[in-house]
Amino acid sequence: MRRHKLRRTRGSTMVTTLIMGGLATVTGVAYLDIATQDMRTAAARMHEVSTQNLADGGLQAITQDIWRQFKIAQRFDAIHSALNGASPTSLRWVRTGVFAGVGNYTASVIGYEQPDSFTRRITVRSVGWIDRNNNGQLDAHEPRQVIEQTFDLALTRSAVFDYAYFVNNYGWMYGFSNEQLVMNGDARSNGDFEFRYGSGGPPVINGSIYASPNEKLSPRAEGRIILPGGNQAPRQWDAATYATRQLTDPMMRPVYNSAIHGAFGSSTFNLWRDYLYNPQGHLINNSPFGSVLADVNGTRRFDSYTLDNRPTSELVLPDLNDLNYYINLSRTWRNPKATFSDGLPNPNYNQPARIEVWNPQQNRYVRVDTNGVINGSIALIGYRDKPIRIHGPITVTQDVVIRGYVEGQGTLYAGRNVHIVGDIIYKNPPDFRGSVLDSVLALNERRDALGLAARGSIMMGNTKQFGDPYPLRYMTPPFTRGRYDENGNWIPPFDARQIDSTGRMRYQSAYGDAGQNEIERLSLQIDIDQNGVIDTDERGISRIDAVMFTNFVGGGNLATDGRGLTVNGAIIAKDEAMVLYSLPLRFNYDWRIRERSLDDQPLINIELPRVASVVRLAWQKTR
Amino acid sequence: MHRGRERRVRGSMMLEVVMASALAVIVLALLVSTQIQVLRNYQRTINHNTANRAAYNALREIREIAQQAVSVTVSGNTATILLPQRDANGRFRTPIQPDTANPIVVQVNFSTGQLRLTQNGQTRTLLTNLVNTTPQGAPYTPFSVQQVAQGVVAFHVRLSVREGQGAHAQRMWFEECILLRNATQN
Repeated sequence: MRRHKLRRTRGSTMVTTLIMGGLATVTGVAYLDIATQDMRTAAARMHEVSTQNLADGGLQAITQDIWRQFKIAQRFDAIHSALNGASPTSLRWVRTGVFAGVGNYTASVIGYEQPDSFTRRITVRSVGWIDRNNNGQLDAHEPRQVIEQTFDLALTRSAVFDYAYFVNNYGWMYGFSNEQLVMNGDARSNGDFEFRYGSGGPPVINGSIYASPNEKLSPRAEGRIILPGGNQAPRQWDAATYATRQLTDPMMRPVYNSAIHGAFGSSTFNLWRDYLYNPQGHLINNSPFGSVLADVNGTRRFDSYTLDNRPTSELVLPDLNDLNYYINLSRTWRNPKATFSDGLPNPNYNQPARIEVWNPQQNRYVRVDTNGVINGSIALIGYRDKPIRIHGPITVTQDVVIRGYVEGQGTLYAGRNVHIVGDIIYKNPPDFRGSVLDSVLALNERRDALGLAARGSIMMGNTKQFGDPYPLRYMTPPFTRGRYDENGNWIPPFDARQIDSTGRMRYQSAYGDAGQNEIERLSLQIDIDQNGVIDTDERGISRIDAVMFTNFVGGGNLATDGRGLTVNGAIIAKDEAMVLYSLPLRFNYDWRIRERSLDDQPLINIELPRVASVVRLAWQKTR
Repeated sequence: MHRGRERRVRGSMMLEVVMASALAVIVLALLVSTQIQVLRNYQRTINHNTANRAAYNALREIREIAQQAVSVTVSGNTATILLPQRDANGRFRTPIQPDTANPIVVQVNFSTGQLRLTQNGQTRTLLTNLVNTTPQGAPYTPFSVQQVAQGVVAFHVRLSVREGQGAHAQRMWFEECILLRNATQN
């Protein structure tokens, strides 16, 4: 009996041990299952996120690479050679990358189309994958994601033409007070924008001011609007004052009036909004309307009330470097507008580009271009009753010297400089007054419009009299500043005294004699009115009716006739060096060249220089 | 002597058995209690993992759709997602046009605790055990859309999920911000 009892005691211990062991095993297995399940889920999440980020990284790499090349060239030639014929089975522009410890990507162009002459449609495919066996190849079992993106590279109208004054560098307005400077339009710089007021306080800016951060300038620009006097904003005219002034100045843009232009956000308002001045800034549909100060610190009203915290960014300046493009444009251009906005036919529809000037010796108009192109340099003089007649884009391979009256609509592209040696006045100027939009548009659509675009500089005034300090100090380093291009290459600052391929200094004209005597004669001795008297107004520049664009400096000696200067149009330059010998200086922005945000169309298309742009079209996961 | 020893042996055995049994009961009770706790924790972990995976899969499905969307509109607890129109090969047509004929509807119903997705006329339940308060007890809205900048639109999804069926079960918070890659750029 005792032995039997002992045996039973031993048996229960064993059973207990077995049960405990079994439970421990089950618990351990369950724990392992839970732990590995979580790990498997976590690993799957990690792979999913990693591969999408890798694929997105590849997409960004190839898109940025193509975009940077296009942004620098601003032409399709190189892109076309590299990508033409791309398809899913014929890859182009293949780019690979490895993120150590994360994974790999391979991206390439699989589609290339040409929807129109200003657009190229590109489809890229990017594969992000985890290279588990580190063989540098995508194997069947390796986790991956495939993304495709389609985007357009386009040569579009540049937003720099939305401003009365645009500088692709540091902007500056020094020494103006009160109505010594009245800017009826917006001003912008691709860098800091500094104001130094004269003794009478701030000048009048009836519009917005923008500055932008710019890493490519040297020194880099923070992108601030620098205001003196404890951040004292410029003056503005209130709506009533502005409206009164506009009665006598028809080239001022209209001031917002809710009774005429509709309530903010209304359909009537949307038709007008791009053409109006409003003293107080508002954010309407996420974009500013009215006068604002916008820079790296965001967008604010003139009274410092913040509207938007997002910083501004640089606008790309069009590049005129490829003159052949413009020569070809001038040769092939035909007026595309069949009817005006009021439905009436355009008599110039389908007509080629041409330019005519009055020849007093021959007593008749002479066409001076050949198929829209002028080889060498030319002087274009428009008399009050015999204005320069322009139609479409005209390309001059060297310098354009111009003054006087102009009739028609078109742009002069200069392979080197544009020299403005006297007033430029529209024979039929626009008149922006009126409360019926269709009438205002119909009238001004037919009025004269001139673009002056220089691959070199726009020099204003009598270059024979250019000296130091005025204006050459402002056209030479250290006032002008260098910058880096998109690839980080240094572009030295503009130096007006540098001699170029014509053998002349860059501020001098290649037209006429090297001593600039012909430029002086054209500046001082032309009887524009043909009344037998050369009066004061005919000996200086007090009015420029034109949209001026230059890849380098826009400046010179202005208002030497004591009458101040009015610019009815815009000036867009890399550096600005306008020296005024008399005041006031007035800008009236010509909004006819501005694209209306509703339809992306300007009222008048004078074929201003285009700029590279990129628009994302579609993003799609394919696997 | 002999008898006495016998009696003593017998007595000591009885005591040993009683003590051993008592100890065994205590040990077994402790073991059972521990095991029950382990099983409870196991169940809780299972519930946690299940809820986590279910929520992740639901969010993943929404993300896969929304990141290709042209637009998302939110009304209450319902989000309507418009994908781009596709061609016969399933590729998005360019320029992108919203496929208004085939909207995808994602709906949260707090009374049933379900997240449901309706696509091509068919409705599926993506997630259950949704609750209308955050783990901290605050009410929340499951969907919102934010225009970050021109052409940059973000779709926010927030979900509070109960771990298991019990009313007092713990809650987990999930939040995801999805960038609409095909959002209209102006």
